[in-house]
Amino acid sequence: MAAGPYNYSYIFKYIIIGDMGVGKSCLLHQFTEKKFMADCPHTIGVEFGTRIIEVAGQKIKLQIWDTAGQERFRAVTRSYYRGAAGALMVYDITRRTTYNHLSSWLTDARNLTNPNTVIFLIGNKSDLDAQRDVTYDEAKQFAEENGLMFLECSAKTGENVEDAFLDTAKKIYKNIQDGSLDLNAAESGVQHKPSNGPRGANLGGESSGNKDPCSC
Amino acid sequence: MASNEDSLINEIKRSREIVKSYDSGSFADIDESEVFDSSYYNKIDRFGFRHPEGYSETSDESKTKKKDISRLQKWDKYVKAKAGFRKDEKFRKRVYKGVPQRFRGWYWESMLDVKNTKDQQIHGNVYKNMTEKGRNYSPYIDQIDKDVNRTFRSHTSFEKRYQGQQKHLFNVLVAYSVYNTEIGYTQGMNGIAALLCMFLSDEDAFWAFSNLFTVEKYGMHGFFALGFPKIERFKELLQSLLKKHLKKLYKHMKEMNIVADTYVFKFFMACFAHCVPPSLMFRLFDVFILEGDKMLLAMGLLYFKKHSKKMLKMNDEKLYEYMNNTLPQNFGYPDDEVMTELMDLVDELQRSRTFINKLTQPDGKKECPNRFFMCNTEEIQKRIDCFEKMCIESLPNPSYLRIEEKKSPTKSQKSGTDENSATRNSKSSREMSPLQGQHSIDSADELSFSERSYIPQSQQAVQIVRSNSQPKTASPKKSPTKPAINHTVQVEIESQPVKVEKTNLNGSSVSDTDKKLARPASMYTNITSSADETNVRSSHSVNSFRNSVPSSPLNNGLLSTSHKSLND
Repeated sequence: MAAGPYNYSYIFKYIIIGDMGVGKSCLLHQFTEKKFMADCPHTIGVEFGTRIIEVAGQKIKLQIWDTAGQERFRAVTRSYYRGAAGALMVYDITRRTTYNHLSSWLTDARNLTNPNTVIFLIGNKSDLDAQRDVTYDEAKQFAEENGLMFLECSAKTGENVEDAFLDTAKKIYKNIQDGSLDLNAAESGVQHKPSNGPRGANLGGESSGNKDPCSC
Repeated sequence: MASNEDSLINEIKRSREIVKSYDSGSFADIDESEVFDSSYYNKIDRFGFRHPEGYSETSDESKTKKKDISRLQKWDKYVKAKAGFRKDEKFRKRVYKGVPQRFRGWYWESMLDVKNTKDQQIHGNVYKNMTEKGRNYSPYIDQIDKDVNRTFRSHTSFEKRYQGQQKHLFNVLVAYSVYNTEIGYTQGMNGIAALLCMFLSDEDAFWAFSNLFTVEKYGMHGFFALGFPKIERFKELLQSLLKKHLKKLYKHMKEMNIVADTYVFKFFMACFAHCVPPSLMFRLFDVFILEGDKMLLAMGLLYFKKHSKKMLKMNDEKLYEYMNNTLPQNFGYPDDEVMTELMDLVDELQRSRTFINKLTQPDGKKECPNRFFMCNTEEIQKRIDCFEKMCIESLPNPSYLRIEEKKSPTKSQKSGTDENSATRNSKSSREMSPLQGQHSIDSADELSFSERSYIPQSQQAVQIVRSNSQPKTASPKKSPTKPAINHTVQVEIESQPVKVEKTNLNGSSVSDTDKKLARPASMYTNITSSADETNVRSSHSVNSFRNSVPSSPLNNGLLSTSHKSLND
């Protein structure tokens, strides 16, 4: 482990949302473990994943909350939206219903996060092009109309998965640089590490960071 | 409007395709990512779970296997006991020591009173009717299908898409989704149902599942009901236990912002499946069936207690990693040790008055079913109407379902063979237990170690009925004006504390029960007849379904609202 109290300078909090079975947990697993989990059980409640990435020479720790997709779990998962710097909103390109539900997910995301939260639309299962039920163009248009970033990915092959997570981080970082994201604001979803520990009382499980990460 | 209808028709079409896929056991274009790669996981443990190359049984496990065999005789005595067996302290210890794999099905079935529950159905076979209804009209088919295919995929009987136990699990969940219409289907129910399906036939699994939901001792209804009221309550309870018994760890986890939602759902909804290795998972489920919901809290506490030293040194990231990846593979302690300590802990907690008080004070209504079971919710009714309008023929039950006809005596239930019979241990246990279920729970034999009494669900129904039949004034209020059974029909049960005399509760034979049910059944006729009207409306094409609809929603503890009152 690197010297010093932290080997990263920022913590960004992400949340992954979308209908059940669209591949949220598989995307997370592909991103953190770099492999596809074929026998991935469905998420009960919420799960947590993390990975350190680098953006513009800065080490950033991503804390990613993965949520259960079934409608009735929203009561639980809603509390994890707060203080998210990035929201990955996922649908399955082979199931139109999951695409049709995006507007309701988007409403939640808009209402429960702060205005600067970067929302990234992911059309998952791009490897199953033969069974495609949602075209790239219409999703692209939906994304543009709503000011979302957009990519089609495959948690199975790994295609574009890295980019989706990284592009979101780049955008957040850019927002910090140009001052549109106020780090001191509560629930910015970002913590700046090196100076004096945690900032803001973000709900939802940020490491408070006042302990040296164990290196035993 | 039209588009709404179109999407409903599309959904119905999709649901029917799914149902047919399970019936035929194949699907034209199975997505290869949905097929579990069994070539890599080619080592199979004694429970049927696959492991990757290089897996070998631990010495602990092979010891357990030997002990399992040496215990067969002792357990055989329980099985053969003509007058039923005493669920006494000795029996309790036996369960903690380990239920032999071979008797597990028998043990679950008798503890969960499956036989009696089935026997006390008075209007046809509920499971049969519910599978048929569910397969045609359940609004949850797509969701259930998605989850069936991600339930215990590393288990040999669940690995094949649309085949083997996946079929049975699918039908049990679909049937339950139109039976307990207050819940329908909540993600997480698949785990428990799958466990039961590993050792019981569909119909038995259905009733065992149902009793886990509605019998107060387990009260799983509250874990899955909308808003998850019991999860919330148990989360608080577990937190207060951690605070009291593992102060340092509690503080550490708080500092690390470890979110309880990441583990409580798995603990309580799935009884620690996916939190511990399979060998321990089965044993924990055995204890859950023995002790009821308090076990979940005791085990929750023990889970952290056993690893508290290590966890204290971990940051959030490592803690999550440890809980999600390490412990499900290797719990780090022999199962027997965990079991012994669990028993001690359950005892210890039981001695604590404050704990028991908190445990037994559910937020009444929220955690119990408040609605009649088997009613047509709006979503179900929409589908029934659509079937009628579009003249869609309803799908019959498939032949692979083992549904016992009510009249036939239960002695030989070996009807129906299954392509997957190798894993159906229940069969072998059946052969050894001709008397299964005949041990009615009489008062002396009641789980003396249980704080709350075990009340077979079907008998609860009797109690509910009685509570309603007593005050005559309560009945006219009900539903003549209502066009159909729907969720607004409620019975105000809580308002009348039911006095349950032990003598009534226990040892009532089936015929007694039927007599008791007879009168209230007529009391409910208005509801029943309105149910029939509903189905008449959807006549023609759904005839076959209508005929199979139970004529009364009364049987089988449709309401367990009486949890609380029964406890008084």
